[in-house]
Amino acid sequence: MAKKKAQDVPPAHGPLRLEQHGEETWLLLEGSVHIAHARELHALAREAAATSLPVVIQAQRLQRIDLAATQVLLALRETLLKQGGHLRWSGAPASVLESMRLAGLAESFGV
Amino acid sequence: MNDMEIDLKRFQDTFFEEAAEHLETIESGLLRLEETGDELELLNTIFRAAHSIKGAAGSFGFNELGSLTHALENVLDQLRSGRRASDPALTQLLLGASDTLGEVVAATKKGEAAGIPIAGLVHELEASVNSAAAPAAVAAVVATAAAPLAGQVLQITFEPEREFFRQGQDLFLLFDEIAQVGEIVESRCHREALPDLEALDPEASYLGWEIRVRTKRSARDVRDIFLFVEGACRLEIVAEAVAAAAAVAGATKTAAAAPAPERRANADRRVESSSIRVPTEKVDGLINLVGELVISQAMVNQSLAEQSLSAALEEALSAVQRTTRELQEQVMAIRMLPIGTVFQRFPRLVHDLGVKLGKRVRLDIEGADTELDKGVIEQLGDPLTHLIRNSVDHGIEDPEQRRDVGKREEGVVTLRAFHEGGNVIIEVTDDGKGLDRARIRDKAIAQGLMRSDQALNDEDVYGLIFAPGFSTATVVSDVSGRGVGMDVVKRNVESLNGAITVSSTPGNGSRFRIRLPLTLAILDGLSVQLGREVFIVPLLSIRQSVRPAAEDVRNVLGGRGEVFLLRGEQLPLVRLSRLFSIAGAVEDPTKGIVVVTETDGHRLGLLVDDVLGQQQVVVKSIERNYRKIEAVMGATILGDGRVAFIMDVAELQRIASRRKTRDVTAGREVPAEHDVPVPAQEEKS
Repeated sequence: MAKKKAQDVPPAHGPLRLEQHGEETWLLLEGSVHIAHARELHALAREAAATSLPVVIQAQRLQRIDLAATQVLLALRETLLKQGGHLRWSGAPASVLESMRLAGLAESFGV
Repeated sequence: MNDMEIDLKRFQDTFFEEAAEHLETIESGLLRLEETGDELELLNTIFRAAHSIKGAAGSFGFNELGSLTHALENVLDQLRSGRRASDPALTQLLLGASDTLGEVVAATKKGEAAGIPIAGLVHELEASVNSAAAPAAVAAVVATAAAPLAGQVLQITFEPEREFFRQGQDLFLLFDEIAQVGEIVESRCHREALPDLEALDPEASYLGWEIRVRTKRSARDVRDIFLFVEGACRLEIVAEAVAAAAAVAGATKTAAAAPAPERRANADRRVESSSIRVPTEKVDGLINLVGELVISQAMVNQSLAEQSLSAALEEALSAVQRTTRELQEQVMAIRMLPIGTVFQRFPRLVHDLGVKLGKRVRLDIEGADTELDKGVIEQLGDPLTHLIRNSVDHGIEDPEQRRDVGKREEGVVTLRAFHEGGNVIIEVTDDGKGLDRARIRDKAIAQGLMRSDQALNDEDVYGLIFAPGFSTATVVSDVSGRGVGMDVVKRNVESLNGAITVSSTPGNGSRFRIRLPLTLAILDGLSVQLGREVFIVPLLSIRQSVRPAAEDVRNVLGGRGEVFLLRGEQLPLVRLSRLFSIAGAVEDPTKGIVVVTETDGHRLGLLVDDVLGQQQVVVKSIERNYRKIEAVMGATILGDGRVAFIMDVAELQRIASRRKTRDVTAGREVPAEHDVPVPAQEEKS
């Protein structure tokens, strides 16, 4: 798969990254993602939506996410659905999935 | 610092501000417990404050804070559930934990929390929890309210407010806690309010939940999980059976089944959250700008004063002037805080001093909602602390002594604030033994502060306690009695353009009275002419203005000083033109005006060329922009754009006192700060 970085990619050491992989846009989340990252995540989510490609949340290296950040991803999913696209999670740790389940969000995200 | 760090810091700053408020709630609550006993509502308030710190600390990963508040919370939980009763030893332990918690919060703010040893205290709190025996009687009373129902299903409706996330709250942690008390059988997330991605404010909260939990715990236990978010959400918790009954009865909302007090409490909290936090710098910036606007507006008025204006323009100018004044008043009001923000530290001080000195002392606070400028309030803490320490240490007697003279064993210190004539008055009163006039006099003579043949009235004798190094205490303690403190109190109060007096009745106690201006930013002044310069004298200090006759002004000190005779009283006369080296000013006093000022009961005559009129001025700091100038407290910009100095009358008084003190002590140097009261008749040359 050809791998190229999308434009305006934030610094590689940050917990958020947007990459384009073939016909998918990957939103990579690492470490702890919370309210302080919400604005940057929102900007990346808007970029991801603008690609008109399916979005994959790559969460293999995600340790924790709060509901403020999750809400941004939920809004991204709704927007993609309206555009006829979709969003899926990949590699989310069990603790994150459990949090989604308890908060009634697992079904929305298809996890 | 990158944008992300700045963002995180912003949320953390809010947490630290709120933590400070919660700490105050914990401390004042613990102190009130001693009076009220284990009152459930009070215990809940304390618990809620601790729980709020714990919750937000967890969100930010402040582990030390989390551990300590968790241990504290466990003890508080035992108290409020009636599994134990409070006692003096436990209150001391909790107060100590509250102190340490404050230190950990402060250290966490600096990123140094790991340096605070908390393990010992956490262990002590845990040991206290483990060793607590549940007093049967207390437990029985509370059991009814707290009893869990077997296997009930609770319906939780939870709608966070928009600002919820900005407070650093993480809802996933909350769901984890719910899962720990039961099984979440259904969790429905309502996202109808969630806007399109483009319109989304990523820091605002748009989601809501309906959660069904099967639990053996009571609704109250489950509600406790929400304690630290209750003020920022709509919350209803109701057992399904109750909800069903309400539905059958035709209730349109399950909310109707919720206990009325709960709904009221939530409504109250929503009202409380209608305020916003604004950094002080922003408010000060706004005040400064409005100050500039007032000056500019005055300049416009002055420029147009001698021109013929149309009626419409005059009316418009008048409207601008009125609106500008109102704007200034409104903006100044933003800086006004209730004085209770400084009073609230004193119950703890009095409690600790009472324990330390073996005295029974109660602190009564009146007028805590009296408002004062934030800048004034911030500088009041130290002087009031000194006064209260002195009242408890020197004023209030031991319980035995009080009993012997027919008083109640418990002494009372009263802290009272109120408005009087455009000023704020703060009084510290005690019902103790009062000041010992003879002893103060003897000590003052021994310390060279007065002569043995001087006849001083009570006020002047009592005023000697404000002299540096003065103390009548026979035993120097670490509470007071070192002779430091009261002079600092006086200086601090005077630095706020205020004044302090003391009165006392033997056997009945003493009263310290502090008079303060409402704000330091604007001042009512009298503008006076000196040569081509204009000076401002604070109106509060002025008693009258007089054009003197030639015989009213006399030389003293061999020509080194002058006095002004006012109805037989000799007042030191200060020629401001000489003090500030102003050329072209009036030399002949009969051609000028003497402005008579009074500070702390001491009068002074200021010779000026002319009196121009009263005006309200915006005070600008000279020290901050240039350097300290003797006898000048600040400057202002006049309507014509010129800068005018604002006189520091208290400092002028000190300069004059220094001169006369040298005279009456027959050449012996006494520091100016002693400010010794000397009867006027002794000044005659």
